Amino acid sequence: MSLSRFLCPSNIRAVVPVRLAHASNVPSAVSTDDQPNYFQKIAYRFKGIPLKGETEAPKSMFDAVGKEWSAPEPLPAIPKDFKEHPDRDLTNYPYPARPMYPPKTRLLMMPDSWFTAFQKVTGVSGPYLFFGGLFAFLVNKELWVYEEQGHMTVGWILFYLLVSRSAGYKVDSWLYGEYQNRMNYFKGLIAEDLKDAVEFRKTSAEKTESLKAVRESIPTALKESMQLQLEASYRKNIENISTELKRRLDYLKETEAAKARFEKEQLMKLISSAVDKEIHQASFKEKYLANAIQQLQGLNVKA
Amino acid sequence: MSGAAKRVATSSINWAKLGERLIPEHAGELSRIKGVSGTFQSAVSQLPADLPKVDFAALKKELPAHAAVLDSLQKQFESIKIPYGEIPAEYAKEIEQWTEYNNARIKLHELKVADGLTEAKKVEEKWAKAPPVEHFDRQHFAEYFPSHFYDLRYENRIPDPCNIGLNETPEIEARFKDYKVLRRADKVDDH
Repeated sequence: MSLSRFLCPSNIRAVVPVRLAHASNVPSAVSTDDQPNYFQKIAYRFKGIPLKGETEAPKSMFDAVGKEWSAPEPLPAIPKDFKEHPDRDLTNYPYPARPMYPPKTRLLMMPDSWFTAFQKVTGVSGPYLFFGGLFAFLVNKELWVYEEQGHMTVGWILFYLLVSRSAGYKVDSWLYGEYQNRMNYFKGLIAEDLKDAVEFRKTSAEKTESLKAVRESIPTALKESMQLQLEASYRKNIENISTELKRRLDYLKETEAAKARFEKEQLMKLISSAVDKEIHQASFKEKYLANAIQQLQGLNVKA
Repeated sequence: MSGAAKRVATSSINWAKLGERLIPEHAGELSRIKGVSGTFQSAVSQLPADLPKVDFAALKKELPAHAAVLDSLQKQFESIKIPYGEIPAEYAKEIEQWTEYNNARIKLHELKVADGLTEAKKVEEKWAKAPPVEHFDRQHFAEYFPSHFYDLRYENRIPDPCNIGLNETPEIEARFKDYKVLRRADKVDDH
């Protein structure tokens, strides 16, 4: 009875027995990439391959397995002439700079330097033969006696290999991140210490410039302000005189105009009163009315 | 009529440019002077600069009846002299005093800057001489960050790695200064 029968009853061709699940990674003749079966889907999940219609690749817990960690950027180099004290002998006692990576080892934990020292004399396989021979000699003469739980070492070594190869990358990344955080904290402290100096340089330069501008401009501005005040009062006086003069001239012009107007009025009055007097006389009426009637009679009106 | 003194109708100061150069501390001084100067400047720009020119001959023709009055007016007008005035000496002296004060202020500032620059240089040199923080030795941490690390070789303090404040009060140090002193003075250690 196969599980896939329950899962995809319509696709009868994709029948994979449970006990052969490990073999389902190999694309079988009965299934295609477009329609992976249940076990193929599981395999894709583990491999981090997205299924059809998925936009993002699935995050696999085995992503970091077997990956070797390396630092994104190396540690900053120590300046060549750096000395803690002028007396330090940099040739024989160079400053112990922190290495980015641990020193090289052979056989999991043997320092490479132990081998290279022998290698110069005994050749490439010499150190192995020496250490192997020494170990065999010690075991043979029971100078090295195995403890009764000594075989557990093998298990521990296997355990170390498993853990270091599966979680080593993630542990290293995390530790590096923490280390960077710590270093950034100290760098922040240094920047804070230097900030005062930088700030002081900036503000003092600004103040010097400002004082220079004040020395150049403010006395002139004060003097000019007083001169402007003098000018303003002088102009005020000019304006007063101008208005007074204008007032006087206007008065003269107005009196002249009033006089002319009065004369004109008087003349008109005289004329009109004389004319009135003439009109109201009886002889005037007769004389001019008879004259007018005569003139009207003389008119030759054509209808 | 304008007088012998030099007439100033506009300020030669470029206030905007000057304002950019000043720090806020000095900008207050500037704004006060600018306010006063601006008031007089606006008064000056509103008022006429010189007396108007009056054509008395034409006026006499126009108003022959007032010729005598116009004559007298012309004489008065031509003989008029408006005093321009001058800056009082004590005010000019005040400006000089202010300039002296300002010079003294600049000198003090220069002294301060010289001192401050020495201090700043010390700090900068200290960090320029220091190795990169990644390569710090454990002695360097106590040397360069004394407020965060302590060196028990020469500092008289109790080790306090968890920073619970053992060194903040003198009681603990006083208590363990002499190890022979017992916790309770009445309890005699005689066995």
